Amino acid sequence: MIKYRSIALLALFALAGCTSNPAVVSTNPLSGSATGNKNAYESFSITSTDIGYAANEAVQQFLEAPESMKPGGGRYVIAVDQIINDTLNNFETRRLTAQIKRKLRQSNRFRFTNAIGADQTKAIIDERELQDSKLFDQSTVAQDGTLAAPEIYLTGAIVVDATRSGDGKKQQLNYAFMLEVVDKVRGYVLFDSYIEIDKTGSNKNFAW
Amino acid sequence: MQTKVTKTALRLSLVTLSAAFILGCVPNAAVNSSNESVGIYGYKGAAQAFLDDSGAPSVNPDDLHELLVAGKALHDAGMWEQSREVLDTAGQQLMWKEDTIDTPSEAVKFIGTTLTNDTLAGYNGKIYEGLMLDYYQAINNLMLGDESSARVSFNRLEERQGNAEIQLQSYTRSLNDADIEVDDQQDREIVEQTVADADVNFAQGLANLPENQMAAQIRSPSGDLVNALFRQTSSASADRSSDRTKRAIKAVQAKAPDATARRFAGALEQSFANLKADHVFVLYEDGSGPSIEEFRVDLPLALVSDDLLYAGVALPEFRRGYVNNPSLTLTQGSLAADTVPVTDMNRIASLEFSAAYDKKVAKEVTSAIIKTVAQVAANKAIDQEVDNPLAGLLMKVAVAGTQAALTRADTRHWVNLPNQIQMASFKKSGTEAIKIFDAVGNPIVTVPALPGHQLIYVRQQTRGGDVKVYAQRLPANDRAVEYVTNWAPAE
Repeated sequence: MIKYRSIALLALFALAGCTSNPAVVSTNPLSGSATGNKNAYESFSITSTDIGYAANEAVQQFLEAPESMKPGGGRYVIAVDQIINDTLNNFETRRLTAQIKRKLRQSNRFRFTNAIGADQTKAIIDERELQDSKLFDQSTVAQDGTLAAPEIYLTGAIVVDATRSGDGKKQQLNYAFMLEVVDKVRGYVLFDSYIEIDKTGSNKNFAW
Repeated sequence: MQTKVTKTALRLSLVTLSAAFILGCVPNAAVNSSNESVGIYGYKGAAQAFLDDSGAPSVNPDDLHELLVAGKALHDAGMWEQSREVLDTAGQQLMWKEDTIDTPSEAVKFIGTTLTNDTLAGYNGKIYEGLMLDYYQAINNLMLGDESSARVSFNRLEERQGNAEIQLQSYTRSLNDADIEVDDQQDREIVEQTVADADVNFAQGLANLPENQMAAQIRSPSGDLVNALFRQTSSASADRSSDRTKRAIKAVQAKAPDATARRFAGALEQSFANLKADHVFVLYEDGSGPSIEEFRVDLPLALVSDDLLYAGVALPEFRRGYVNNPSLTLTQGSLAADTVPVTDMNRIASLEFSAAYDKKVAKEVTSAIIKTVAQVAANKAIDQEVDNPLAGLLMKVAVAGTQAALTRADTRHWVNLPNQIQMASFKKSGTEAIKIFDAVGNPIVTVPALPGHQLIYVRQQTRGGDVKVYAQRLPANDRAVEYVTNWAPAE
């Protein structure tokens, strides 16, 4: 039972900001909660640390798999297909694919094409419209039949499920980074990775 | 939490709170007259009240009530970007998930408004308003052709829908646990006896509630159905294969209060199995939603004290919204389909109202005790210290006037929600235009049949009033097209 005279004290607490959510604990081994870095930023949303971790894990798993070696040698031509963000927060999936692309390219087993797919560079197609232009030296204009079609596609989704503890005091967001590399001819899944990050915190507010 | 209020503190605070009342409670005319403005100036005209000269939103970012009304007014006018911006700001104030009075700031707010009235506290929002906010954000994004953001909004909506029932139960429990009483037994008895003798029908506020209320009905069936529609017509195969569609349809079939909505969910699911053929989906917002009015009871003064000029109780009364068109008819060649109601805003909005009502009555009675006792004390002090009888009377009138002004029910609500949300779906029959008729057969608009699946979004608040019609191809990758109707604003 709260007496009226205690209101001022309560108001002081409120003003002091003691109603904010307590810390979020993440299972990402690079997160502040896992490394013990109390100054590290953590939230229910996907952080740059989560993106870096998921990209690293996916690439590492793929490179360790025999399917990442092109039969007969050489490098796979690969394109990024749709990778959707199916979570509770707006998040640019290209921040994930950009890291994956860079790491895979550095392995010297892949060539990424931007001629097609989610990362298509519009200028590649526009360039072909210059073929009849008298303004351009035609020996420097990209000609028909020169683009390399991808052999495999990178696709996937980042999904989340929200659950709450039995007493209703905690909530957990279970993120899954689900990535697949698909062979375009047969449609076979050459490789897939499933990287989970769970985040647990107060159930006081919605987690976005 | 139990709340006990001491008499001395109340008396001391009355003067301060009176000042707060004068300073803090300025009703926003644009918010309160939003529906009337639509009737006169149309949706675009009404939305102008929330824009600055450059066309950017001009809304108080701290006023949740204004943000919600402005966000919907801009949405209705097809100003999707501006609506999205305003509702984003509103969303930051509707983040609470567990609705209990267990933080110091909530306790201060609750006790503080017992001394005055709820309108002095900032608008806290309702559980169902959180649902509707994310619903309109999802449609804003869909109409902008922004599938990625629409997916996030639909996910938030799904999360809110799943939590709403628990949240409502938690809210009800929390209110039941709150004990509002006055320390002084004699003071309490005086006013309680007065209230009893005044023969006040406290239940008047609940007279218009829908019957057979259950917490699960706080879920908006149209939210689930549009979510399912988005998934099934999305450009991403991951959406189409997601089990979110099944979950949404099942939620309607298991929890929607009306058989019509449950049947429509089944029909929509069947149409999803045949999406190789182009379909038309219709989403229609009809009429004006439920409102909250004040009813006020002035108590017989002689029963309390001879030295008293005002005592009263103000309570909120739930009023149902009104239906404009029970259904719309759509024709394409020889094909005809009618919209059916899937969401009844009266039912959704009334759940929190009825849950909180008993406690509101208790709070108002407490409030009446506090203010009346303070008034008697103030009048006695005036009698003792003011020699001039006329000056004394004027001071007493001022004190009574303050109490009368402080006796106000909180009638704030999201004023421009529809009364019903209706839906229809049918397989396209060729490329002929789609004609839409109101409930009495008057043509509203003709919409060209666009290639592929097509969502037609219609809003009409009053029959004969402005009607907005938008068509969006699904998957939504471009901005929706608006179709002009014959309605013209008053000169």
